[in-house]
Amino acid sequence: MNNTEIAQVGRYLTELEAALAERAVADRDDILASVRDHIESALGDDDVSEADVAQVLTQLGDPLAIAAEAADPDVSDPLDRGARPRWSARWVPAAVIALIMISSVLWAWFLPLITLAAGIVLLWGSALWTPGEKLAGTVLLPAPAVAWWGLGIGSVADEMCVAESTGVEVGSGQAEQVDVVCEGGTAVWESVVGTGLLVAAVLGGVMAAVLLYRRGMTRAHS
Amino acid sequence: MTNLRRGALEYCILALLREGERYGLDIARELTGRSLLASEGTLYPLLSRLRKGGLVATSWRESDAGPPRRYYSLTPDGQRAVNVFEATWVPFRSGVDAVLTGRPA
Repeated sequence: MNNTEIAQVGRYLTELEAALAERAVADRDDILASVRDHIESALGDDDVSEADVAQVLTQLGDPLAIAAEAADPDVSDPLDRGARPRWSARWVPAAVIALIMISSVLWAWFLPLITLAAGIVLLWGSALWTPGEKLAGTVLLPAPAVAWWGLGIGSVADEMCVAESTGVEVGSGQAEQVDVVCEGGTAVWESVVGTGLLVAAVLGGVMAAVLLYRRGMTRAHS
Repeated sequence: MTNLRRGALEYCILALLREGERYGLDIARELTGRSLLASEGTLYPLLSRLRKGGLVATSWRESDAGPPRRYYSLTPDGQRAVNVFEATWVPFRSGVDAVLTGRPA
């Protein structure tokens, strides 16, 4: 083979490699090696012309067709007889934690609502955790963000005032008593209770994340 | 139809290896020669799958001419699989043929 023919074969193999990668075929190295072997066997060491190489490659066929055959999910894999538990891949724990924690921090926009929902669906749908762990995850993972927003720290710390009327009997002639309760603002940030709640929520969230991640990973399908 | 064809083809590959180990090009040529395989390249994903399933084993061998070649051979599991297929296929095929030609049962 001279340089032209080597380049011809190289182009074919590069195309096949790209097609296999595109379809995320796990055995692509194996398939690539055996196709390379096929070409070398077919051409041998003798002098071959460009036409010979072209014929061998034509008979091998379209690289995309080979990749499609390799990726066809309808084919029963003899190794993969038992069905895997649902959503038990190794990416699931990290995805659940990231989706829920990050989305809940960013909840001011529309998209995080969808990703938050996706995280919760993934958490509850996955076979990696017990119902108790799922409940803990649902409550505790968004807790740091909820505390952050709820205490008015994440948003502009405006003072919020709520008018509350105390119960007055109808027809008693008494003037309705209205108390104005003001919350938020810097008062909460400075208050010991607010800080304590925030720290507790953050700790709870982080602990839940660590627990869900570690348990999830030990159960995940490798 | 594709699945039926492919399923049968996997057993044809195993059957070809019953007489002894063969290299990829040789298997590909035989299957295309018998019009069982449209393009030679699609053989390799099938071989890779059979190997992963433990039905076929591979080894690299020096050849008389040219670079070393990858040889495929049947494992004991592969042997059993093709025997089971044969026992099922033969009566199945005659049944299908009979239905297609309208022969009475």
